Amino acid sequence: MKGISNYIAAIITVSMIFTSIAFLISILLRQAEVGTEALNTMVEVSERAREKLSISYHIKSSDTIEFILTNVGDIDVLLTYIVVTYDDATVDIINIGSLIVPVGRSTRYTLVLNRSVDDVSSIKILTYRGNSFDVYTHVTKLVSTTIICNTTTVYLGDVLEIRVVIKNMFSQGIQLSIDDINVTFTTYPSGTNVTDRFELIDSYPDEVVIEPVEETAFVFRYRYLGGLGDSTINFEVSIGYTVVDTGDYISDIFKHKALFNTVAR
Amino acid sequence: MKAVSEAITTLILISIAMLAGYMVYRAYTLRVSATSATFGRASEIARSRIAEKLELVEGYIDANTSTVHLIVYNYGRETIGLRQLVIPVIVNGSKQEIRVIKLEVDIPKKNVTEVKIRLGDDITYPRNILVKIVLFTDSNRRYEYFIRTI
Repeated sequence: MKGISNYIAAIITVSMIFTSIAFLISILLRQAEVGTEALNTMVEVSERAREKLSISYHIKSSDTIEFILTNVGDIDVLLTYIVVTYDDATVDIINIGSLIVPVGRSTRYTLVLNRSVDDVSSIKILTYRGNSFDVYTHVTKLVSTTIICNTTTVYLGDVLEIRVVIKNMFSQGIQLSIDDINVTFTTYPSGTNVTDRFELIDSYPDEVVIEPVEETAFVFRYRYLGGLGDSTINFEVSIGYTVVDTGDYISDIFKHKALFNTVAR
Repeated sequence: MKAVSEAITTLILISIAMLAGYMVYRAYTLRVSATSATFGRASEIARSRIAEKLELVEGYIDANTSTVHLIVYNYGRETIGLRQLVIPVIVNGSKQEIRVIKLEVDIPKKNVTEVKIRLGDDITYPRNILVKIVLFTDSNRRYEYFIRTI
């Protein structure tokens, strides 16, 4: 009996030891797996941060853009996708396979779109390591500003009329007050502010709402007070306007600047 | 007679010893396997969280249709499951709420996917504002992004 219980005890002990070893090995393997993944991720994050592309583009026709991609980083870049977003919120995802841009080299890529380049809101290039490079952004001015002056030369006491024509290129109406338009006079090229040499004698209209695509001319009449000799004068027009929205909870202020010049004698 | 009873006693004692031994062994192995399973699950979650690689390439809300458009790039080595979207919404043009939307979107590895989420007819957004959204994935990892309304 004593002999048998010893055998049983020995069998149980050996089984426990083997189970413990198996458990230990399993833990070690899992830890190694997590550690390897963490190490790989660290390497990938580091490599991703080293990817640097200098990108220029040339619009060859209404639906064709050629990109010139120069690798200015210290690691080869593998391009995988191009994502084109259009103004009407549709998206084209183009798989470009595996286009490699070696270190210090340039690669050209011609993209033929399904639609006109004018409809494109943005184009991004994605890399194998997960970077996203902005390639092209359609630039739309929210307001178009034209400045017209009634004279190219002013003499002491002359009245100068500056007409600021503002066209709303935005999808919503904009509210504009004459106080939001700030005209500054500076000498060229020194940039000295000489606004005090021009006396504002009249300006109109006081306030307007310009609906999309509409335009309004604001008139500013100044009297030249002299004292500038033969100088070229720049007018800098700065406009702050409020977007008129149908909701009650938003008003965005945008700033816009425009330049024009005349000569003071 | 005595020999028979001794043999029976011995057999009973052996059976008791074997049963007790088996119970001890079984309890030990159960405990070990439970610990192993817990550790395995925890390390798998840790590994999958580390391995998860997601990039929001483009994101915007179409204010006309109250639809969220997300273009996401899974540049990792495993499929990522998007499971939840947390987004502030404006209900009936005035009341602001935070909505939690369940998602069943799987993004295969090394793939770019456009995800469209229709928010409902009662939801409106003004144009040109930034909206903070939070995405949760299978591994319960959270990603915060600001997207614009257009």
